[in-house]
Amino acid sequence: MDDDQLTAARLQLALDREVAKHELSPGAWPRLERRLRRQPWRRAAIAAVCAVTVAAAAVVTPYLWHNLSGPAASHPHPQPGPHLVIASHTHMSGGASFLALTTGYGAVWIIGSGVIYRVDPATAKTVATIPAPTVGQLSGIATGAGAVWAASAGRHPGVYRINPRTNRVTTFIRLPPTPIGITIAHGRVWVTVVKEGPGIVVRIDPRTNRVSGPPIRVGDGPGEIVSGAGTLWVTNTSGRAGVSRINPATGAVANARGGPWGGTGRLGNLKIIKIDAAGAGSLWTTDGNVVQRVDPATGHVTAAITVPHAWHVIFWHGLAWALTGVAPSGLGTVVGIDPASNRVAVHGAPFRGAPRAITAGPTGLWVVFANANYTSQELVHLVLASGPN
Amino acid sequence: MESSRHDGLAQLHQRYYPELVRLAFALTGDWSLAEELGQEAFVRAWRSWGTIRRQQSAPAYLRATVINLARTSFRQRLREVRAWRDAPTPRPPETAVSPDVLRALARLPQRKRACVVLRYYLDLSEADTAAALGISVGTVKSQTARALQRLRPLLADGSAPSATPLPGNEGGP
Repeated sequence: MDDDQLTAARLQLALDREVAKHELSPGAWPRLERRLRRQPWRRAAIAAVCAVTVAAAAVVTPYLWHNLSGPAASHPHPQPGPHLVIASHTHMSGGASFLALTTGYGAVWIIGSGVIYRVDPATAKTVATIPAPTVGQLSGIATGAGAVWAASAGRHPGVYRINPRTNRVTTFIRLPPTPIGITIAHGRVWVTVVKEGPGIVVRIDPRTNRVSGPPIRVGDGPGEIVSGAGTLWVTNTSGRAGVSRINPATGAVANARGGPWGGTGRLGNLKIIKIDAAGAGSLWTTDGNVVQRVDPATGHVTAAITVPHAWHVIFWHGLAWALTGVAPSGLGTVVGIDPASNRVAVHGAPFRGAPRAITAGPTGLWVVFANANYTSQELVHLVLASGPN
Repeated sequence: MESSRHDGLAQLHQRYYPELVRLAFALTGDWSLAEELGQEAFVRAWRSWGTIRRQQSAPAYLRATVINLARTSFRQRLREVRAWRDAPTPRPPETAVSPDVLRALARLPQRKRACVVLRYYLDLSEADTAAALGISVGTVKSQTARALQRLRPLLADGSAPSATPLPGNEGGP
């Protein structure tokens, strides 16, 4: 038996042993059937909404046209819809290590392996490489309060503070393992920290670079943290999952499953378990092939917009932008959803590869796609060819 | 039509659900999540039934969906954090081998991990592995060989990985 065969046999044996410790939960098929029974209802609901929208548009449009344009107006000419065009397309060196990016202070900031890259949005070239030895694949990054902040999920857990004027790390704030998500809002830097059992959110005062106030206990496996509608929304990813809501003034937390907030199966969707973005008075998230719009007051899904392979959604320029993709070797793209109509209003050019991250800046959207082998990645800058107002 | 889709999916579920859960478990190291991903794969198969029937075999579709879900799931990121993290308490020797293999797998980039699990845990052929991953047979061979190369020192004599690398160092080719 050669070395490869021996390694493969050891792998198989060890995995068999590990699997043998678990049993499949009983009733898997009945549970699946229950889920599937919701599908026709969901389709019917979406179809009904579309039909009502089309019917309403058919009735209202001629009326509006008549009233706005007057009787002498000619027939309207079709206007080319706004669309995204590629402003730049840059190969990122260093393999598949770029997973988080943000914009701010006139730059795009990208987490690399042990470094943070500063990219000039005008040229899409890296203009500074800032050593931050323990940032990596799991690190979140955010800008605000006069600095760039990067969570370090590595062996030295904490947060790097970078001065965007000098491109240097000015402070490293130690935190308990393992910090993941980060955002700046309400005068504080908010960091989610994964622990055994319920996780915590830590607040950092940017004036002192010190932890401010006691840790806020949230759900299991807190990941992304989003600010919107006067609340911080934490996506919990393990255990009973769900979303925790933090009152930024008091630090009081309400878990979605513990109160009235939360999905109700409306439009056939399951309970909301993550929040990606906030905008237009709503929260936005994805669930497989739909982008969901959520009422922050009730947690109810108010719209489910079909977007195949929607992966993540952000809010920018008055629209919700969904990053889509079919891994490992399919096509991905970005589409814009108009909150006024809850319909896809902007289409982007397709990319071959796996979507990894998306952010927005003043000049447009920035998307990272990996190639099929995850050995290289492309930073793509998308701008609106004719932007919605 | 609806009844035939239901019956077809029921048969697939009976035959492939355990395999898909094992696959998801090997990729994520989390049994509950693996069951969830297995179920989700069937929901997606239900939605895409026409496409599956026309274009590709259902098992390949299901495996590809599980791999995709495991990769894109944000939960996966956190499971990897846990896998990388040093265990808080020492484990007894008799159970040390299995968690170590999950840690060793978690160190591999996703593509290599999927290749090695499909080939050597699910015993798929190179062609079936390629179909599940949407890559060429040649790529399966090279990725699998490299994965085994990386796993060899980690699995030698059941020894535990001794150091936790920085997360950012995981993604190299």
